[in-house]
Amino acid sequence: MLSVLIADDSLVMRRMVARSLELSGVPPHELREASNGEEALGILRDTYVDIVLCDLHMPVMDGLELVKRLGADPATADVPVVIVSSERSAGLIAELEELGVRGYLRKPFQPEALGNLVREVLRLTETS
Amino acid sequence: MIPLSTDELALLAQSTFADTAFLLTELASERHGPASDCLCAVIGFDAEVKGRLVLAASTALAAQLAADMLCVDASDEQAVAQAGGALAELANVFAGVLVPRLFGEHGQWALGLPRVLLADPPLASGEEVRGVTLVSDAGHPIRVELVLGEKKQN
Repeated sequence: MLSVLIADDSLVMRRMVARSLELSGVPPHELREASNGEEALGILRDTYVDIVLCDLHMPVMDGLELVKRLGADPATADVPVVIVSSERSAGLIAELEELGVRGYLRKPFQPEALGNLVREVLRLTETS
Repeated sequence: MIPLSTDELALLAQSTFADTAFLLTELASERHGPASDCLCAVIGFDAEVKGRLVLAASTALAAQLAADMLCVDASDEQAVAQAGGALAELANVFAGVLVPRLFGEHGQWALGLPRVLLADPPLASGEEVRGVTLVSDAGHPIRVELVLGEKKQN
Protein backbone atom coordinates (compact mmCIF):
# COMPACT_ATOMS: atom_id res chain seq x y z
CA MET A 1 0.00 0.00 0.00
CA LEU A 2 2.15 2.82 -1.28
CA SER A 3 1.01 6.43 -1.21
CA VAL A 4 2.98 8.84 -3.35
CA LEU A 5 2.94 12.56 -3.96
CA ILE A 6 4.43 13.67 -7.28
CA ALA A 7 5.29 17.36 -7.46
CA ASP A 8 6.21 18.58 -10.94
CA ASP A 9 4.92 21.51 -12.98
CA SER A 10 4.76 19.31 -16.06
CA LEU A 11 1.61 17.19 -16.19
CA VAL A 12 3.33 15.03 -18.80
CA MET A 13 6.22 14.34 -16.44
CA ARG A 14 3.88 13.61 -13.52
CA ARG A 15 2.19 10.96 -15.63
CA MET A 16 5.54 9.58 -16.77
CA VAL A 17 6.76 9.30 -13.20
CA ALA A 18 3.53 7.57 -12.16
CA ARG A 19 3.77 5.18 -15.09
CA SER A 20 7.41 4.47 -14.30
CA LEU A 21 6.40 3.44 -10.79
CA GLU A 22 3.86 1.02 -12.23
CA LEU A 23 6.31 -0.37 -14.79
CA SER A 24 9.00 -0.87 -12.17
CA GLY A 25 6.78 -2.84 -9.83
CA VAL A 26 6.03 -0.20 -7.19
CA PRO A 27 2.57 0.99 -8.26
CA PRO A 28 1.13 3.61 -5.93
CA HIS A 29 -2.05 2.63 -4.16
CA GLU A 30 -2.76 6.30 -3.63
CA LEU A 31 -1.36 8.94 -5.96
CA ARG A 32 -1.45 12.67 -5.28
CA GLU A 33 -0.19 15.30 -7.69
CA ALA A 34 0.97 18.87 -7.23
CA SER A 35 2.16 21.30 -9.89
CA ASN A 36 4.40 23.29 -7.54
CA GLY A 37 5.85 23.25 -4.04
CA GLU A 38 3.04 25.30 -2.53
CA GLU A 39 0.41 22.84 -3.73
CA ALA A 40 2.53 19.99 -2.42
CA LEU A 41 2.79 21.62 1.01
CA GLY A 42 -0.99 22.06 1.09
CA ILE A 43 -1.51 18.36 0.35
CA LEU A 44 1.08 17.27 2.91
CA ARG A 45 -0.53 19.32 5.68
CA ASP A 46 -3.68 17.21 5.38
CA THR A 47 -2.54 13.92 3.91
CA TYR A 48 -0.03 11.24 4.86
CA VAL A 49 2.15 9.99 2.03
CA ASP A 50 4.94 7.43 2.11
CA ILE A 51 7.19 9.37 -0.24
CA VAL A 52 7.38 12.63 -2.20
CA LEU A 53 8.85 12.59 -5.71
CA CYS A 54 9.69 16.16 -6.49
CA ASP A 55 11.00 18.24 -9.38
CA LEU A 56 13.30 21.17 -8.59
CA HIS A 57 12.40 23.81 -11.13
CA MET A 58 8.78 24.73 -10.57
CA PRO A 59 6.98 28.06 -10.57
CA VAL A 60 5.42 29.57 -7.41
CA MET A 61 7.54 27.45 -5.05
CA ASP A 62 10.45 25.38 -6.29
CA GLY A 63 11.61 22.02 -5.01
CA LEU A 64 14.45 23.41 -2.89
CA GLU A 65 12.07 25.68 -0.98
CA LEU A 66 9.63 22.80 -0.56
CA VAL A 67 12.35 20.63 0.96
CA LYS A 68 13.31 23.44 3.36
CA ARG A 69 9.69 23.98 4.44
CA LEU A 70 9.08 20.28 4.95
CA GLY A 71 12.21 19.95 7.05
CA ALA A 72 11.31 22.95 9.19
CA ASP A 73 7.92 21.55 10.17
CA PRO A 74 8.02 18.67 12.69
CA ALA A 75 4.83 17.29 11.16
CA THR A 76 6.51 16.80 7.77
CA ALA A 77 10.20 16.59 8.59
CA ASP A 78 10.24 12.79 8.36
CA VAL A 79 8.47 12.53 5.01
CA PRO A 80 11.05 11.07 2.60
CA VAL A 81 11.70 13.24 -0.43
CA VAL A 82 13.32 12.07 -3.64
CA ILE A 83 14.26 14.68 -6.24
CA VAL A 84 13.55 13.82 -9.88
CA SER A 85 15.02 16.58 -11.98
CA SER A 86 17.08 17.53 -15.00
CA GLU A 87 19.18 19.75 -12.74
CA ARG A 88 22.79 18.56 -12.40
CA SER A 89 24.41 21.31 -10.35
CA ALA A 90 26.72 19.59 -7.86
CA GLY A 91 26.38 22.48 -5.39
CA LEU A 92 22.61 22.27 -5.39
CA ILE A 93 22.62 18.50 -5.03
CA ALA A 94 24.99 18.79 -2.04
CA GLU A 95 22.68 21.37 -0.46
CA LEU A 96 19.70 19.08 -0.95
CA GLU A 97 21.57 16.20 0.69
CA GLU A 98 22.38 18.41 3.67
CA LEU A 99 18.70 19.26 3.93
CA GLY A 100 17.88 15.57 4.23
CA VAL A 101 16.73 14.65 0.73
CA ARG A 102 16.79 10.84 0.54
CA GLY A 103 17.56 10.39 -3.12
CA TYR A 104 18.25 12.11 -6.40
CA LEU A 105 17.33 10.89 -9.88
CA ARG A 106 18.34 12.72 -13.02
CA LYS A 107 16.02 13.01 -15.97
CA PRO A 108 15.93 11.25 -18.33
CA PHE A 109 15.66 8.09 -16.27
CA GLN A 110 14.72 4.48 -16.80
CA PRO A 111 11.64 3.23 -14.91
CA GLU A 112 13.70 0.58 -13.08
CA ALA A 113 16.01 3.29 -11.73
CA LEU A 114 13.07 5.11 -10.18
CA GLY A 115 11.58 1.90 -8.80
CA ASN A 116 14.89 0.82 -7.29
CA LEU A 117 15.41 4.21 -5.68
CA VAL A 118 11.91 4.27 -4.19
CA ARG A 119 12.38 0.75 -2.78
CA GLU A 120 15.76 1.69 -1.33
CA VAL A 121 14.46 4.89 0.28
CA LEU A 122 11.40 3.26 1.79
CA ARG A 123 13.43 0.39 3.19
CA LEU A 124 15.84 2.91 4.74
CA THR A 125 12.92 4.80 6.17
CA GLU A 126 11.37 1.69 7.69
CA THR A 127 14.58 0.75 9.47
CA SER A 128 15.59 4.25 10.61
CA MET B 1 32.98 26.71 -22.40
CA ILE B 2 33.70 23.21 -23.66
CA PRO B 3 33.52 23.06 -27.47
CA LEU B 4 30.58 21.14 -28.93
CA SER B 5 30.34 20.10 -32.57
CA THR B 6 27.09 20.06 -34.46
CA ASP B 7 27.41 16.29 -34.79
CA GLU B 8 27.71 15.96 -31.02
CA LEU B 9 24.72 18.25 -30.52
CA ALA B 10 22.73 15.95 -32.79
CA LEU B 11 23.89 12.79 -30.99
CA LEU B 12 23.06 14.21 -27.55
CA ALA B 13 19.63 15.30 -28.77
CA GLN B 14 18.92 11.93 -30.35
CA SER B 15 19.81 9.95 -27.25
CA THR B 16 17.91 12.30 -24.93
CA PHE B 17 14.80 12.30 -27.10
CA ALA B 18 14.81 8.51 -27.24
CA ASP B 19 15.35 8.11 -23.49
CA THR B 20 12.82 10.77 -22.48
CA ALA B 21 10.03 10.46 -24.97
CA PHE B 22 10.62 7.29 -27.00
CA LEU B 23 11.25 9.63 -29.96
CA LEU B 24 13.55 7.98 -32.49
CA THR B 25 15.21 10.41 -34.88
CA GLU B 26 17.91 10.69 -37.47
CA LEU B 27 19.69 13.65 -39.02
CA ALA B 28 17.63 15.32 -41.74
CA SER B 29 19.14 14.80 -45.15
CA GLU B 30 17.70 18.05 -46.44
CA ARG B 31 16.99 21.45 -44.98
CA HIS B 32 13.45 21.68 -43.60
CA GLY B 33 11.82 25.06 -43.28
CA PRO B 34 9.74 25.80 -40.18
CA ALA B 35 6.34 24.11 -40.19
CA SER B 36 3.38 26.45 -40.62
CA ASP B 37 1.89 25.22 -37.35
CA CYS B 38 5.17 25.19 -35.43
CA LEU B 39 5.51 25.08 -31.64
CA CYS B 40 8.77 26.24 -30.06
CA ALA B 41 9.86 25.19 -26.59
CA VAL B 42 12.47 27.59 -25.24
CA ILE B 43 14.53 27.24 -22.08
CA GLY B 44 17.11 29.80 -21.06
CA PHE B 45 20.32 29.24 -19.14
CA ASP B 46 22.80 31.46 -17.39
CA ALA B 47 26.47 30.49 -17.28
CA GLU B 48 29.65 32.19 -18.44
CA VAL B 49 27.44 33.14 -21.37
CA LYS B 50 23.68 33.50 -21.37
CA GLY B 51 21.83 31.44 -23.89
CA ARG B 52 18.85 29.31 -24.66
CA LEU B 53 17.89 25.98 -26.13
CA VAL B 54 15.07 25.95 -28.65
CA LEU B 55 13.16 22.89 -29.86
CA ALA B 56 10.84 23.60 -32.77
CA ALA B 57 8.40 21.00 -34.03
CA SER B 58 5.03 20.80 -35.74
CA THR B 59 1.98 20.52 -33.52
CA ALA B 60 1.48 17.05 -34.99
CA LEU B 61 4.87 15.88 -33.76
CA ALA B 62 4.38 17.59 -30.40
CA ALA B 63 1.01 15.85 -30.00
CA GLN B 64 2.62 12.53 -30.88
CA LEU B 65 5.30 13.21 -28.26
CA ALA B 66 2.63 13.93 -25.66
CA ALA B 67 0.75 10.78 -26.66
CA ASP B 68 3.87 8.65 -26.30
CA MET B 69 4.79 10.21 -22.96
CA LEU B 70 1.24 9.88 -21.61
CA CYS B 71 0.68 6.45 -23.18
CA VAL B 72 -2.48 7.52 -25.00
CA ASP B 73 -3.43 7.69 -28.67
CA ALA B 74 -2.21 10.74 -30.60
CA SER B 75 -5.80 11.67 -31.36
CA ASP B 76 -6.70 11.62 -27.66
CA GLU B 77 -7.70 15.10 -26.48
CA GLN B 78 -5.17 14.84 -23.65
CA ALA B 79 -2.34 14.42 -26.15
CA VAL B 80 -3.51 17.41 -28.17
CA ALA B 81 -3.89 19.53 -25.03
CA GLN B 82 -0.46 18.56 -23.71
CA ALA B 83 1.45 18.92 -26.99
CA GLY B 84 3.21 22.09 -25.85
CA GLY B 85 3.82 20.70 -22.38
CA ALA B 86 5.47 17.60 -23.81
CA LEU B 87 7.77 19.64 -26.04
CA ALA B 88 8.62 21.90 -23.09
CA GLU B 89 9.48 18.92 -20.88
CA LEU B 90 11.66 17.48 -23.62
CA ALA B 91 13.49 20.83 -23.85
CA ASN B 92 13.84 20.91 -20.07
CA VAL B 93 15.40 17.46 -19.93
CA PHE B 94 17.67 18.12 -22.90
CA ALA B 95 18.86 21.40 -21.36
CA GLY B 96 19.74 19.40 -18.24
CA VAL B 97 21.97 17.22 -20.39
CA LEU B 98 23.38 19.89 -22.69
CA VAL B 99 24.24 22.73 -20.33
CA PRO B 100 26.49 20.64 -18.03
CA ARG B 101 28.15 19.27 -21.17
CA LEU B 102 28.89 22.86 -22.28
CA PHE B 103 29.92 24.38 -18.96
CA GLY B 104 31.02 21.35 -16.92
CA GLU B 105 29.21 19.19 -14.37
CA HIS B 106 30.75 21.28 -11.60
CA GLY B 107 30.53 24.59 -13.43
CA GLN B 108 28.46 27.60 -12.47
CA TRP B 109 25.21 27.61 -14.39
CA ALA B 110 21.48 27.76 -13.86
CA LEU B 111 18.51 26.71 -15.95
CA GLY B 112 15.33 28.69 -16.39
CA LEU B 113 11.81 27.39 -16.77
CA PRO B 114 10.74 26.21 -20.22
CA ARG B 115 8.23 28.28 -22.22
CA VAL B 116 6.22 27.38 -25.28
CA LEU B 117 5.94 29.91 -28.11
CA LEU B 118 4.36 29.88 -31.53
CA ALA B 119 7.54 31.12 -33.21
CA ASP B 120 11.27 31.00 -32.69
CA PRO B 121 12.30 34.12 -30.71
CA PRO B 122 14.44 36.50 -32.83
CA LEU B 123 18.18 36.62 -32.31
CA ALA B 124 19.55 39.50 -30.28
CA SER B 125 22.71 41.36 -31.23
CA GLY B 126 25.80 39.25 -30.58
CA GLU B 127 23.95 35.94 -30.35
CA GLU B 128 25.03 33.00 -32.46
CA VAL B 129 23.15 29.81 -33.28
CA ARG B 130 24.22 26.21 -33.66
CA GLY B 131 21.46 24.03 -34.91
CA VAL B 132 20.55 20.68 -36.34
CA THR B 133 17.37 19.32 -37.81
CA LEU B 134 16.37 15.79 -36.91
CA VAL B 135 13.57 13.77 -38.45
CA SER B 136 11.36 11.41 -36.50
CA ASP B 137 10.76 7.87 -37.67
CA ALA B 138 7.35 9.10 -38.86
CA GLY B 139 9.04 11.78 -41.00
CA HIS B 140 8.34 14.85 -38.84
CA PRO B 141 11.23 17.32 -38.50
CA ILE B 142 12.31 18.69 -35.14
CA ARG B 143 14.75 21.58 -35.10
CA VAL B 144 17.27 21.81 -32.26
CA GLU B 145 18.96 25.18 -31.77
CA LEU B 146 21.52 26.24 -29.22
CA VAL B 147 21.66 30.03 -29.01
CA LEU B 148 24.69 31.51 -27.28
CA GLY B 149 25.16 35.14 -26.30
CA GLU B 150 28.39 37.01 -25.82
CA LYS B 151 30.73 36.01 -23.02
CA LYS B 152 30.07 37.94 -19.82
CA GLN B 153 32.58 40.56 -18.70
CA ASN B 154 34.31 39.74 -15.40
